[in-house]
Amino acid sequence: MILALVLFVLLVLGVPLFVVIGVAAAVAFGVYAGHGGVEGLVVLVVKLSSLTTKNVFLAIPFFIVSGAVMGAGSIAARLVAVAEALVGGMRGGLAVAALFASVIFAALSGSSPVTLIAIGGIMFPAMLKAGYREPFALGFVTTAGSLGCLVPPSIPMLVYAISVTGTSSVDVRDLFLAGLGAAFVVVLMLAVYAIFAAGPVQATAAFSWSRLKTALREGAWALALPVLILGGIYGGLFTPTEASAVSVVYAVVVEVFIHRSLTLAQLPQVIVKATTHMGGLLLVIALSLAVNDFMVEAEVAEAALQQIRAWGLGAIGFMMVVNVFLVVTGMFMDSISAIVLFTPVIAPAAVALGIDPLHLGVVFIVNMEIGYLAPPIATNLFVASTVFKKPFGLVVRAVMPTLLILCAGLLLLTYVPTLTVGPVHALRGGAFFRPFATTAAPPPQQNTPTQSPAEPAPAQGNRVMSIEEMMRINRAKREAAQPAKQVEAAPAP
Amino acid sequence: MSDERGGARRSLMRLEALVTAFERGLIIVLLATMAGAVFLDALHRIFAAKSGRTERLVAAILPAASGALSQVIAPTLLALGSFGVVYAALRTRQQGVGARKRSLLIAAIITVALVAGTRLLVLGLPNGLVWSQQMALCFMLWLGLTGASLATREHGHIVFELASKLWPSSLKMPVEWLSRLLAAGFSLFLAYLSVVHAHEHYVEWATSDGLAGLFEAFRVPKWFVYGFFPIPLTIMGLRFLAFGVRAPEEGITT
Repeated sequence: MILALVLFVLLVLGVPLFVVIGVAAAVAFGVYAGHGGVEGLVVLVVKLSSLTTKNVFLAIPFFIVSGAVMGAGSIAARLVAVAEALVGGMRGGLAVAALFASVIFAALSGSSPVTLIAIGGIMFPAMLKAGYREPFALGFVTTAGSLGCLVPPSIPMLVYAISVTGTSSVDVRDLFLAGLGAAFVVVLMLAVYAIFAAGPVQATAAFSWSRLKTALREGAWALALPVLILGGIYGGLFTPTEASAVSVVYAVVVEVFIHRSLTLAQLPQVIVKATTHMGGLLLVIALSLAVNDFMVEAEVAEAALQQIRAWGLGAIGFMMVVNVFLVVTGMFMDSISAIVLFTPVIAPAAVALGIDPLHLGVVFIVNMEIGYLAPPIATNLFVASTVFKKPFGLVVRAVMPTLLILCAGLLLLTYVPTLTVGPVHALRGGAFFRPFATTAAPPPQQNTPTQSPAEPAPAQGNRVMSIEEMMRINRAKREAAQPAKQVEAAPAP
Repeated sequence: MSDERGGARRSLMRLEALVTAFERGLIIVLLATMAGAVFLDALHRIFAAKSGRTERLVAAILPAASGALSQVIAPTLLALGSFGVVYAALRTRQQGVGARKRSLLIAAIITVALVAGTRLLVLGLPNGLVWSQQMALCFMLWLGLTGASLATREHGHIVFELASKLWPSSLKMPVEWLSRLLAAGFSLFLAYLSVVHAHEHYVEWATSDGLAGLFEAFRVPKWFVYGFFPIPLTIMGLRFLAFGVRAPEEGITT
C-alpha cells in the first residue's frame, strides 16, 4: 500500500521514470524485504554493474546508434523510391509503398517516431498529391510508422529477452524470427486495407523495369543491411551482439562514404543524440532489474499465478486480460518501460498456463505498437500532429480504422501462435502448427536430464537467466538451508 | 551583489559547457572503441577458422578441389567478392565520365588493403580479441551513464507523459521544482551508493594484492570500472537542479 502510494505520487509529479522505479526498488528492499541501510540498498548499483555480464545487452546501444545514423542519412528517400517503383502503379499502390518503406526503415532505425518523420514526411504529401483522402493518408502513414518494433533488429524485443521471466529463457534469434511472422501478418492486413479503402485515386507512374532497376541500384545498400544482419545471425556467421556492432560499422560506411549523405563532422552529433536516448533506457532497465530481484524474493509472480488460478481464468481469458492491460498501459507509458516493468509478473503466469514465452513476447510487442497509436497519450499521434501540422483530433480520428485493424491482428496473433512461433519450431525440426494452450499445463522443464531441476544451467551466450530459474535456485537454497537450521535448533541428545 | 551572482552563474555555465564537451568527446571515443573491438573480434573469428564457409562451399561444389587447391580457390573467390562489393560501393559514390576506370583502380587498392588487413589481424592476434565483449560491456556502462547525464541537460529522460497535463498552470512551477529536487536527490544518492560499491571492490582488489576483483576476460580491476559511476551520477544530480526535469516548451519556464 505504501509502495503504491509512493509510486502514484512520484508518477503524478512527473518525476523521471528511473527515479520512480529506483525509489520503488529502494522502498521494496528497505521496507518489505528488510534490507534497509546503505549495505542493503547498494543492490541498486549492483544491478547496474551486473549488466556487464549480459552480453545481449550490448546490442541495444549498437542498434540504437546504427538506427540513428541511418535515420539522419538518405536511406529513407531511397527506400521510398524502391517501394514506389515496386508497387506504386497498382491500386492503393502509394499507400502500400508507404507501408513497405516504413516497415523496412523502422526495422533499420528501430524508432517509430523517426520512421514517421522520415517516411511519412515524404509519403504523406505525395499521397495527397496523388488524390488520396487526407484522413486515410494521415491515418495510414501514422500507423505504418509504428510497425518497426516487430521487425528485427528490434530494441523492444532485445529488452523483452532480458526481462522475460518464463520457465525457459528466450533466445533473441528465436524472438526475432517469431516477430517476422507477426510482422508479415500485420503488414498483409494493412496492405489489403490500403488496396480496398484507398478509393479512386490517380495512379502514379506505371510499373517499369527500368525505374525499378534504377531505384534498386540507388537503394541497394539500404536493402542489403537487413539481409546482412539477418543472414549473418541465422547463417551462424555472427551472434546478435556482433551483428549489432557490424550494423554500426555498416551504417557509418554506407551513409558517410558511399551515399555521402552525412559528413564525418555531423556524425558525432548524431551519435551523441542517440546515446542520450540510450542512457535514459540504461538506468530504467538496471533499476527495473533491482525491482525484479525483489519480486523473486517476495515471490510476487507465484502469488499472481495463484490469484489467476483462483479466478479460474484459463489461458484464453488470461491472454484477453493481458491484452487489455497492455493496450491501456501502452496508452500511458513508453514501450521499453512497460516491457521491463510488467514482463516479470506476466511471463511466469503465462508460461505456467502453457503459453510459449516467445509467443508472449510477440503479443507484448504488438500491444506496445497499438499503444503508440492509442489516444489519449500516444507518441506517434503527437508526432504526426506536429509534423503534418494537423489538429490532434483529426489525427486521432484518422488512425481509428487502422487501429481497429491492428487490434484484429493482435487477436489473431494472440490466439493463433502458429503465426509467431510456427517458423521457429519448424526450423528446429518440430511441428509448424502450434495449438493455443487452453489448459493450465505445468511449465515444461528445459533442463537436461543430467541436471538437477533446482540447478539450471548457467546463462550462456545470448541466453539470459530467467527469474523463474533464479526463483528455483532461491527455493533450492532455502530448502537446503531448512534442514541445516532444524539440525542446529534440535536439542542435543 | 547581483554582479557577483551573475559572474558566478557565468562561470558555472562555462564549467558546464566544458563538462558537456568532454562528455561528448568521451561518448564518441567509447562508442568507436566498443564497436571497433567487437567488429574486429567477429571478423577475426570468421577469418581465423581453419575451414571457412567459402572453402566448404568450394569443396561441396568441386569435391576434387580439396585440400591445398580449395585453400587457393576459396581466398581467391573471397578477394574477388570483396573487390565486387568495393567496386559497387565506389560506383554508387562516383558517377560520370572516367568514374569506371577510377573506381576499378581504387577498388583494387582497397581490396588489397582489406585482404592484407584481415591477414594481419589473424596473424597478429592469434587468440583474437577475446576481451572485446567484456570491455565493450564495461564501456557501455560508462557510455550509458554519460548519456544519461547528457539526457538530463536535454530533458531526455522518460517521464510519465500525462503528468505535465494534470496540473493547472499555477501549480506547474512548484511541481517542477519538487520533481527536480526528488530527481536530483535520488541521483546523488545513487552516486553515493556507487562510491560504496566501488570501495567494496577496491578493498577486495587491494587485499588480494591485485589478484582478485578483476574482470574475467578483460583483466581490469572492477573498482576502476565501477569507480567511474559516481561522476556522471553526480553531474546528473546537479543538472537536474540546474536544468529541471521538463523542457520549457512543456509549459515550464525557469
